Parts: sequence; C-alpha cells; structure tokens
Amino acid sequence: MSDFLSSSQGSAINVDADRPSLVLRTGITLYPDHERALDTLLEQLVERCPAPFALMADSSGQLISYKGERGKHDLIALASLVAGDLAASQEIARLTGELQASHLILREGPKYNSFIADAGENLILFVQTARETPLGWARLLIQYTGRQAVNIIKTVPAQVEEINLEINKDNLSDLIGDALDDLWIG
Amino acid sequence: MNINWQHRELNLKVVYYGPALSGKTTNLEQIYKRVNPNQRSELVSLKTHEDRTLFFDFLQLELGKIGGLTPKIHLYTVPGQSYYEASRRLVLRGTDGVVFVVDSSVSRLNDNVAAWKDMYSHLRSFGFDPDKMPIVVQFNKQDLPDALNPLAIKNLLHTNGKPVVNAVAVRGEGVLDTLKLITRAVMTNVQREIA
Ligand SMILES: Nc1nc2c(ncn2[C@@H]2O[C@H](COP(=O)(O)OP(=O)(O)OP(=O)(O)O)[C@@H](O)[C@H]2O)c(=O)[nH]1
Ligand SMILES: [Mg+2]
Repeated sequence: MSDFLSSSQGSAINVDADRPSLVLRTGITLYPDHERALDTLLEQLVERCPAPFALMADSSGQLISYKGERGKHDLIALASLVAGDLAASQEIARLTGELQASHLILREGPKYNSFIADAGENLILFVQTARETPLGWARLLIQYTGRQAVNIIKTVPAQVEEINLEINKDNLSDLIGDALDDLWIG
Repeated sequence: MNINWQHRELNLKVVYYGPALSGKTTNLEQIYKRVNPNQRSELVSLKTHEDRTLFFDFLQLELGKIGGLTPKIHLYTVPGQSYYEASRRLVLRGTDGVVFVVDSSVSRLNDNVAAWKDMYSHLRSFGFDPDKMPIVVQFNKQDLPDALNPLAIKNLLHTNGKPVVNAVAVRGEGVLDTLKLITRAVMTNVQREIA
C-alpha cells in the first residue's frame, strides 16, 4: 500500500556501496536520469491520450512533473490533495477488507474526466482527459504509464553525479535559524 | 524525506499533532500570514463547515539555500477530534518530525495526555522509535487564565528533555520559535543520515 504524505517506504534506490548513506529511511531519491525519464513518460501519456493536463507526484504529494497549464502555487496544493485523496481511498479499501493491488479513482465532469492512479507504492498520477476520450483508453494508458514509471525508478542510474551535499556543517543550526528569520516578515 | 538531485531539493515533512482545538491549524495560519509569500505555497485546508480540520491542513515553505541544498518543508496538521483517528494516522505517516501542540488549559489535561499516548503508539506502529523522532512540544494558549504552567505539563507528559516552547498561537507568539526548533531538529537528523 502506498504511503500517504510521506515519501515511500521500502524500495529506495540502491546506490553503489560506497554511497549507501543515500538510501534513506523513508525517502525516495530521484536522480536527474530518473527525472528526465519520468518527464518524457508523462509527455507521451499526454500526447497519446490526449490529455490537457497531467501531473506526477510521489505518494507524499511532492510534485515530480506536470504537463499542461497551471500556476506554480496551485500545483503544490493540487499535488498534496491528490496524495490525500488517494491515501483516503486506499484506507477505505483496507477498512472494507478489499485488498487492491492498484487504485484508480475516476471523476466524471461535464467537460473533463479526471483520474487519480497509483504507480507502484511511491508514485501517483493525476490525469485530466476530455469528456470525449474513451475511459477505457485513458485507463489503459494511465496504467501502462504507471508500470513504466515504476520500472524507471527501480533502475539505478549508471552514473550517479557526485554532488556535495555540503550540509555537514557545524553551524547548521545557525544557518537554519537564519533561513527561517529571512522567511519571516512578521 | 526525499531528495531531488536535479534541483538539489531536500523535502521534509513536519506534522502538527495534538488534541482537538489546541491550535494546530492556527499555527499554520499564522505561518502563512507571516512568511514571505514568494517562499510559501497556498494554505490547503480540508475542514468541516464549522472550521474544524477534517483531514489535514498543508503549507509548504521554501528556505533559502543551505549548503548545497534548498530545503522545502511540508507542514501538515492532523484533525484533533477523537473520531478522526484513522485520518490522523494517515497524515502522520512518513513524517520527519512532529510538533505536539498542547492546549494548556487545565480543563484539557486528559485530552493532552490521551493525544500524546496516541501519537506514540502511531509512531511505534510505523516502526519508529518515538524517542528518536524529532519532537518539539508547544505549550499553546498560555494566555488562558487557567493555563497550566509549563513545568506541570512537562511532568504530566514526560517530555523528557524534548524542546518546549511557550506560545499564544493566535497572536503569533512562539510560532516561529517552534518552527525553528523543529526544523533544526529535523535537519540535524537528516545530517546524521546523509552526511
Ligand atoms: N486563547 C487562545 N486561543 C487560541 C490560541 N490558539 C488558538 N486558539 C483558538 O483555539 C480554537 C481552535 O484552534 P484551531 O487552530 O482551529 O485548533 P486545531 O488544533 O486545529 O483543532 P482541530 O482541527 O479540531 O484539531 C480557535 O478558536 C483558535 O482561535 C491561543 O494561543 N490562545
Ligand atoms: Mg485544525
């Protein structure tokens, strides 16, 4: 079952042995290669469907990629709601004794239909389609996209860029305090 | 927590937990009002017609660069009313840190204790050791005439050395201090994990 409002448990990417510290307790780690591949995948979905808008997030509601027109702030809120919606629906399934391998929530609107679907345990798709697009076709594509996405994040990128985190600083505490003070306008 | 290497973003999750009406939503509303609008998302509130949290509130803050990373903090509140237990557990899942918002009113003593225990058992059920989870305790509503003094609350909840903050969240007092403390605690944990 997917993991609402948290990034995944479990299938963290297995980075090479000298950097095991990157396999995080609750987190997934997205490398540039992953991101590019997921982005392309979403692009294909949008084209083939066709879909005026689609979004991919992790199960915590963290936005990964989107296609179509939306404002930035709106997107962050939307992703958190999509994750909440899916999590509630999964929990409903669990409480009513329905163990479902995957979830797909459909809303039918006057102009658009919208789908929320899980892609493995860690990813979520939100896709809007025109009313005329056959539901079965959209569903097929969304599920296909979900499976592909799972495969993408399962693979370890061949070359992991060396990026210095630079947060191993003694004055981390002060840096955070300053950053929050900067944020605060009172 | 998740890290996006492409954008060098570190995404952290902090949950405001506590009994019904203790002021969890108020904390997020105050933060929303008082931070630079360019560095925050919209405030998402899933609430009842009576303005009680039904599922969660959500607000994302984006800090300036720290070292090589831009930390983004996802703040959530849980619904405090007892019958929303299942939703509370969902929201708490996968969190990197918790702010426990106490209602300091003497009449809410038992509710605080019940919520505290509840939080511990949820954290354990996810396989966390609650004593290793960064937790900051906010003694909110210190303005009430029947507010318990902080020492009494500490003893009651067995806060065992966890950072505490006195607050009057409706007036914004203690809200930033709480946020600073929990962010520091969470980042220190992250530092240990990925350094
Ligand atoms: N006197 C006083 N009242 C406060 C303070 N902080 C919040 N309140 C009030 O307490 C009431 C409940 O606040 P909320 O923030 O909605 O409480 P909550 O914890 O989110 O409640 P639920 O969503 O039901 O769990 C509101 O009327 C607030 O104005 C405070 O510091 N002092
Ligand atoms: Mg609330």
